[in-house]
Amino acid sequence: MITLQNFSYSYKKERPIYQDLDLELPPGKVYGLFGKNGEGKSTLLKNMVGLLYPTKGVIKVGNAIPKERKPSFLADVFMIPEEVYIPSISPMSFVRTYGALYPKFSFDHFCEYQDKLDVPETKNLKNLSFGQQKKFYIAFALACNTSVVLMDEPTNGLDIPSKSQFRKLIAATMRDDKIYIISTHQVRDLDMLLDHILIVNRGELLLNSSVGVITEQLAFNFYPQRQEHATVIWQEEVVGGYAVVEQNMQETETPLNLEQLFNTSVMAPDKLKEALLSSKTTVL
Amino acid sequence: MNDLFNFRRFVIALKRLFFEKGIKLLASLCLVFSIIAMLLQYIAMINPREYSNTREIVLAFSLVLGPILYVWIISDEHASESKSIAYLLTPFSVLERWLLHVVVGLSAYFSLMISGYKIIDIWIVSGIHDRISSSQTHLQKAYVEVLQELTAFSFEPIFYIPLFLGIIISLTIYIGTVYFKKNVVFYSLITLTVVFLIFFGIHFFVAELIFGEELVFEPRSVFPFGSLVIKPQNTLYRTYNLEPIWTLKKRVFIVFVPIVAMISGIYYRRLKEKQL
Repeated sequence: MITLQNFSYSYKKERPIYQDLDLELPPGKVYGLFGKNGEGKSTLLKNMVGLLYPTKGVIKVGNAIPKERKPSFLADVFMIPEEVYIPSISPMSFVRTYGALYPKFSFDHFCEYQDKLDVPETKNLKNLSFGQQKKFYIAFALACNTSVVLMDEPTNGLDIPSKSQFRKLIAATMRDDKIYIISTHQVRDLDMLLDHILIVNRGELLLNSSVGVITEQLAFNFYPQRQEHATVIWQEEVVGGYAVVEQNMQETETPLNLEQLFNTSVMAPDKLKEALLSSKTTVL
Repeated sequence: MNDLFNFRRFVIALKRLFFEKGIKLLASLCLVFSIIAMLLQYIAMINPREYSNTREIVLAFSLVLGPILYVWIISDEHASESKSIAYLLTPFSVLERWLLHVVVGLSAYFSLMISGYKIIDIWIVSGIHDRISSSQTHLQKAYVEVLQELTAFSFEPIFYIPLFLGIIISLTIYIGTVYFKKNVVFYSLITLTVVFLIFFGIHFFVAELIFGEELVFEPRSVFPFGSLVIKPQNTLYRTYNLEPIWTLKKRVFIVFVPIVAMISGIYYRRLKEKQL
């Protein structure tokens, strides 16, 4: 469980990024963290692993305080940053050295994930391209079997087959005691994978809801003409018509469209709030 | 899991340092030894009479400036954000990181440096002796005697000063890597120079408050805990050198040990509080 209580963070005193944010993230879910550029997605992730310290409030990951960066905590969390750093050593030296620091690291899993992500064999990790290094790092991160894995733009730099393999790996390695948080702008890479959506905007949590509730309460439709009826929450003109987010009045659910959901949460937050409030599991 | 110190983790930290930076560290040591050997050999060939003095100066510089590159390689963990993330999130405790850099890193450098220097010195001194015995007839008697007295280096207390200065410079670079991302060595050395100048200034200011116009402004009077040169008003030409009551060795330890302890303590604290 990741808990944030009265969490505030600011790089400069006059411009706080987060103010008094309360959030609870139970395990067993893949969380998608979305927001515009510079709105604090990476900052939030960095605070959760203790790379940055809250200016006010407390963050807890399980019973650990991330800012203390105790080895027992660090051995149970893994962060995949947007740009990974890989030292100039052989893959085996890397795995033997770093794998030994993670009690749940599995070499068999590592080999399996490496195969699935199609990481080429090399004598030195520096010989790999950016995308290949990232795939190597993702395979290693997942093989560490840590309870918390935070990913900042994990699919950036990955080729098309690897993106698909990445999704499969995330789904296959998810367990009830694990938390995966994925921050990304590549919404289409992940929309089928996520269990829970978090949208941040100007330090505010605009949306904190499970995908089940969202698809139950909202319908993501496409119409050739503009819709004027009262159930419409937000609509925007797209090629050939209008993408409409409306209250779901049917029994059937429409597939989640993260791009539409994100735009709705930013452009019509109050209406979205109203529509989702009917579900008790939604916190806004 | 012991969060303060774990021997197994520490061995892994050592292994990591060896795998990732071993070659660079070895190259930096080879570079320092090559410079020392070339310099000493050059003096021994050109002007062997000066060798005795030169080797002292070279050793002092090797101890003070030699560790700069080595220390920068060890502590270069925050040059980029991704590198810093990888380092800070590796499951090592602050004490393990600190011990690895400060205790293991520095003791390895200075012990290797001093041993290497001694070997180079023995090699050059034996070379000089060989040449004297083969070409004695061409040299004046006194000159031969001086050179024959030349023995391999034994470390006098005076070398504790460059040794401690080298440790202080190394620790300053360690701290600098936590604060500065680029040009770490340059900014760290500038900062240290400014701090030293402030101390020298304070020392000279206090001495001047006490002795007023009797204090003679010269380099010896500027160094804290050193001697002071004064010229009493009732004497025309005579100056007096006021020496502290403690021996040089005692003064060196009294002054430098607390400074080293303080700076390494600051480094520990900065490692603990380091954010991206």
